[in-house]
Amino acid sequence: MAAGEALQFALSGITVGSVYAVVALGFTIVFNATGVVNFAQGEFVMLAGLLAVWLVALHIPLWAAAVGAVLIVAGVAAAIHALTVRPIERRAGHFTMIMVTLGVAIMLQVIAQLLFGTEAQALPSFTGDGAIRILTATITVQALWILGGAAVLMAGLYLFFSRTRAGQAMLATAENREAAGLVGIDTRRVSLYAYVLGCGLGALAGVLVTPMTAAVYTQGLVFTLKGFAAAALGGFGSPVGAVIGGLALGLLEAFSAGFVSSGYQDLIALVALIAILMFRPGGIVGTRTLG
Amino acid sequence: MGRARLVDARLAAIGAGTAAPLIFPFVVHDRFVLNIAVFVALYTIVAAGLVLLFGYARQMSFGHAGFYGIGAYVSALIARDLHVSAWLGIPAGAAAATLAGYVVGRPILRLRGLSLAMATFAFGVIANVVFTQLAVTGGANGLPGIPVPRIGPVAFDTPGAFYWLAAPIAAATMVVSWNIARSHVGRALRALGNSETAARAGGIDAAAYKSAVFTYSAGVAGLAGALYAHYLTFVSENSFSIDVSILMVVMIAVGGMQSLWGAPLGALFLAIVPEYLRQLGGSYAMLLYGLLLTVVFMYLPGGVVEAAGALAERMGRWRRRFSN
Amino acid sequence: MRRLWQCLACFVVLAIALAYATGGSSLGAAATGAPFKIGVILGVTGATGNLGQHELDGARLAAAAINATGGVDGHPLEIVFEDDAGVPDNAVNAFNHITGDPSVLAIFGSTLGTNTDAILPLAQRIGISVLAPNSTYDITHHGNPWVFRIAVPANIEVEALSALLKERKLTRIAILNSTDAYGSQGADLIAKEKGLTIVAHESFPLTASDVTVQLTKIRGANPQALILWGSAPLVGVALRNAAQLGMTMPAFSGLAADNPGNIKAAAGADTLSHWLVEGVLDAAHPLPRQQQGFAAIKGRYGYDPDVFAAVGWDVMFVLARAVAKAGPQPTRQGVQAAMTTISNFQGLAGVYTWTNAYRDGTGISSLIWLEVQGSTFARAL
Repeated sequence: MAAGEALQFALSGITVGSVYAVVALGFTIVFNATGVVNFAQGEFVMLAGLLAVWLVALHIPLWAAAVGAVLIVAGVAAAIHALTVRPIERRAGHFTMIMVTLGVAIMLQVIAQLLFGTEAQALPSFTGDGAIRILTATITVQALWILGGAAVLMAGLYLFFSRTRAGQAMLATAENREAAGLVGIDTRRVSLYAYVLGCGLGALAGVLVTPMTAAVYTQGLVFTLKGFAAAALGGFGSPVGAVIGGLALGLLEAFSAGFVSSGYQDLIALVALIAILMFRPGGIVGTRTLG
Repeated sequence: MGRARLVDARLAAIGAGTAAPLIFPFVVHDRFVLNIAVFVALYTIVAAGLVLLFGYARQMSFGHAGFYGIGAYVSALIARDLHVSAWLGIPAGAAAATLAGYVVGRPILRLRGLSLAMATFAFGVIANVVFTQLAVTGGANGLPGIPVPRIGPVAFDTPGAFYWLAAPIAAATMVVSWNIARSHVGRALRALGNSETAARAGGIDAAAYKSAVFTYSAGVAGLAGALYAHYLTFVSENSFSIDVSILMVVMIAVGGMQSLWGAPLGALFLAIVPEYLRQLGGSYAMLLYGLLLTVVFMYLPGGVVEAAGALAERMGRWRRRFSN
Repeated sequence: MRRLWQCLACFVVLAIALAYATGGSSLGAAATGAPFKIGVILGVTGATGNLGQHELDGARLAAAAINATGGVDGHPLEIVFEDDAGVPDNAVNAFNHITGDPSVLAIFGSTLGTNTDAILPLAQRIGISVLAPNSTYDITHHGNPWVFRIAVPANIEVEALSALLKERKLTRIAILNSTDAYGSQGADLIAKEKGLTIVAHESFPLTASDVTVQLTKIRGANPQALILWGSAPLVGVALRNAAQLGMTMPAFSGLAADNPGNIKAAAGADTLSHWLVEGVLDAAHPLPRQQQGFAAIKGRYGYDPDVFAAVGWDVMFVLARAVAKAGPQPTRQGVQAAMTTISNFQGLAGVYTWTNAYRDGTGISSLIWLEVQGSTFARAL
């Protein structure tokens, strides 16, 4: 029985963790290329979920609504980049950037409340509400979509960063902005693309997770916190770290709720995060430290 | 001539800044305004610690609502459940927060920059989970019936009366922070804020100074929290959420972190502007608040003090140009 | 230099926006005499926005209805509203601001029980009645003569649950509650009920997006009934997760779960068919005392009346009665005294009685059990 329970805990930990992983990936990509710690990241998750619900209510097919929601959020992200990142990206430090993105997060939450109301909204599962049995445990088909989506994204990002010029330019800018500028990379454009890509990933997470948990205008900060924690846990600045951090956070929450106490699940995950930061400053992957 | 005027203006500002809090409770009797004044005093206490931490030592914390809460709960429980005077509860609350500040700060301050921001953030959430989960804190339902501080027949149970408790404590905290800032400690904090490596090379025990300023800021946050508990006579975890930690940071960032003047100015901002917007009502006011923060941080990253300084300088230059 | 101009320009825009926002907020009342003012402090933005807006809607509509028929002895009721956004310090500010006007006769608020707790000591100090729409058990148990609960208290919710469970011989139960004030208080009270055996007790923070882990542990304890104590949308998420785990035992929830957000979040899960929720009204089948109010709410706002809109409506009618009873020149003291004599008042969300000793307003007779029929709740028993 205990083994069966443990398998169930692992499956739900991985499901929730892959959502965190996608949010953390977005965080990491934005941070790497722009130096912005985006406290509005979770708001894009929330916004995409609510947009998808709204589009479905307009009798748009689910797949088109999902794509449309991600595209609209990417457009919003481009506008936000132009208005709040571009004017200050050369002179502002981490702290100023955090505070500016906090202001943006407040505005996005209010706008979502004004546009979509305060009720929790649900999105249908992509391919039905079925569940699959694995030994003694079950996993929903939607969770498989989330896992699969996360896996495809990671593969896609790997190819993007290793095979395309745009990806290479982003990596180079992340590594050394000045030098990237000197070798002819348009770092401003890279900053915009990375910001839109990162926020678009947040939106994708929102579309994937909304059939699992209903979307509501207040949930942005939660995703921001979890995504930030996942990115720090895995190793800030590393896409692989973001994925590993997300999965680790999800599993940690599930196992501490399962074996210790469900009331303390957030606490245990965060104590672990502090411990990792202290004793393994580069995160689990340990590529580089935050300075 | 211009410089002399600037000094005059500064003296006038200091004079007004000292006289206004003393005179105004005799002029104003409105409970609403006095209540805001109490909150200005409480926020000033918190900010007087945070300015040293953020502005002098350049260490970020996004979890100080945790210390604010520790001070509040410890003081409230001592006065309410042990039936000891609030006059013992309040220092005990501040002491507990100081201790917590040391225990948390000493190890955590090895982290820098964003890692430190993340770890303090995590501490703030952890503290909130503990407040919510413990039975002794009343869980999520909070603690009602916290005693009001009294001296003989005088009870500090109205905003007007409590002001005379909170404002002197705020002033005293400012004086202590001022002395710290002007002492060798303040200079050491500035030095390690500018460059920790250089400060270490200059023989400054960076870890000890960082830990000391963090502990102090936690202690005064706890003091403010303890006063808050006895002012409201009710506390719940809602008052010590991560949003409150963020508001504290907004407060000193708007006020300005490079000078202790930023503390009372930030406190004034935080007590008045969101309150004004709240009274406008509805979501649009929140939208304006977000817009205000965004604009302030984009264009006035040094806060109000720095902006006022720059403006004064610019006006001085104009005046000189016109008089020439 | 350019930065300074940019900055100034931004402030000018802000200032204009602020001026505009302040300008258009007052509405004239229709009745003739000097208005009787009622302070309303609710969380219409922030985490409780969903509930607070409906409470405000109900109160405004009721005031309009009262004023359209001559007000209280020819005086219109005027709502002085401020939002507290679910933040206790805001509730205190709003209370001090509103009650600074001595002609405000009573307060309705706040949406969040902990905010009500924060303003009650102030109300006692200055002497003004507070009509509290909260289930929080302790607000009426501090000997504060100025508080009047206008909601079903948590202990009554639990009493009704306990009675139904025993009647159906479902005494081995599991509790899954949210860790917020509502969920944890309910769980504590259920755990104290005699005659019920708690075989598993799990909780979830409001930050959760999945409660499969908690339900897996509960499934292992094999309870006869599942008690889901929380609000929307996480109770719905729990129902969906329970179905996914193949859990077929009946599920029960308290008043806060009576929210269409839960039905949406459960997305047609089988568990919806054996889930019962406590409620105070069935929007599609109003009782005689509910017909007029429900039609008004639906007609004005387009949504099915829920407990929040109904309570908001009831508050204004109750206060209209109390103010009328308090004589031609009502005072705060007079309204308080009149409130303690209101008996058997037929409201939308219950039948209310208050006395000096009994401050909860409504009892177990106002509760009904709801089940899910299609995409809405309907009376079950």
